[in-house]
Amino acid sequence: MNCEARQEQLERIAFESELEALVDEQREHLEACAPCASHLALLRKLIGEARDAQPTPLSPQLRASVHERATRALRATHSNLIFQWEIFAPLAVALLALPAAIGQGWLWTRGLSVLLEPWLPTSVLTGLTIFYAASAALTLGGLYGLLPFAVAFANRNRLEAP
Amino acid sequence: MRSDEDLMAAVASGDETALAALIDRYATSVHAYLLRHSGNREDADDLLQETWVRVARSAKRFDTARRFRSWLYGIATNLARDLFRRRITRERALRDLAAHPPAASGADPVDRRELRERIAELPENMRAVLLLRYYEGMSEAEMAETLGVPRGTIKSRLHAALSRLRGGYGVSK
Repeated sequence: MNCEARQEQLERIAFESELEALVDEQREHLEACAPCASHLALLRKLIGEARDAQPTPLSPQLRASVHERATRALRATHSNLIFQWEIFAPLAVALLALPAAIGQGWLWTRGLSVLLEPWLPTSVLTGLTIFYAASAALTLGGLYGLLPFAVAFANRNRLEAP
Repeated sequence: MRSDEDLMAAVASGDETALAALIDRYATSVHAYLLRHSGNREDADDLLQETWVRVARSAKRFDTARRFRSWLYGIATNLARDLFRRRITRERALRDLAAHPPAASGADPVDRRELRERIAELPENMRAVLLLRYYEGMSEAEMAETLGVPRGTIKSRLHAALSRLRGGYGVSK
């Protein structure tokens, strides 16, 4: 077994008693080989340091804060995040803009068609109208489709806030 | 005593006392882990709170076939990693490392304070493996589950971390 394999074998152990048992088996090599000896010394130090490192008790304020924030978060997951009236109502008003946007688009395409009819063939005008309608539909669909997610996000933040 | 996974199943259905029991069981050790990981008490405090918020938020998605402890430490590790990346503490660590080069070959092992400093200077992924192994006593399988990497990666990261810690104490052949 080469040094690297021996060192990896030592690394698999995280407890003092097991480490010392393995050291007994390999004592001859570990006493003669400086790199392995220093590796072992480091592992002993690390295991000793970890064993003696006592976690500091949490301050009462921190403990209380952890409990409070986690509990709020848990309650939020069991709340209806979409239909919270305080946030959903103003956003529902925003939906009123939808028919206005559609109407405006229709007027623009209609007006432009009438205006450009003498110069452009019907197929080009139809193509432009379809392109406009499709891009407007995608934009508005994406915008309004995101609203429920925005509402849920805002409501979760509100419910979790201290 | 109810198992962690039983408590998590209760948390998933909205049981606040089960959540409180898990917090009481693990908050101190997770805080100590985060403190060692981040090296800063304020960061550890913030990360601890965020960890438990994530636990509460994700309770419904927790697979009770998994070990809760691995899952919990995985969340804590990911949050600490995100913070580490945001703050670019790596650069600071590298600067510190340049200011305090490792001891020369054949020197005695470092004292404990220096050991802690060297652990803090390790790259984040190596530091996580080292802390989980020696301070949290996790097995390779648990660490793999916690960090979401294969066991082989855990072994190689651990070996690399120890080699870095050993610094100039000779090269194995």
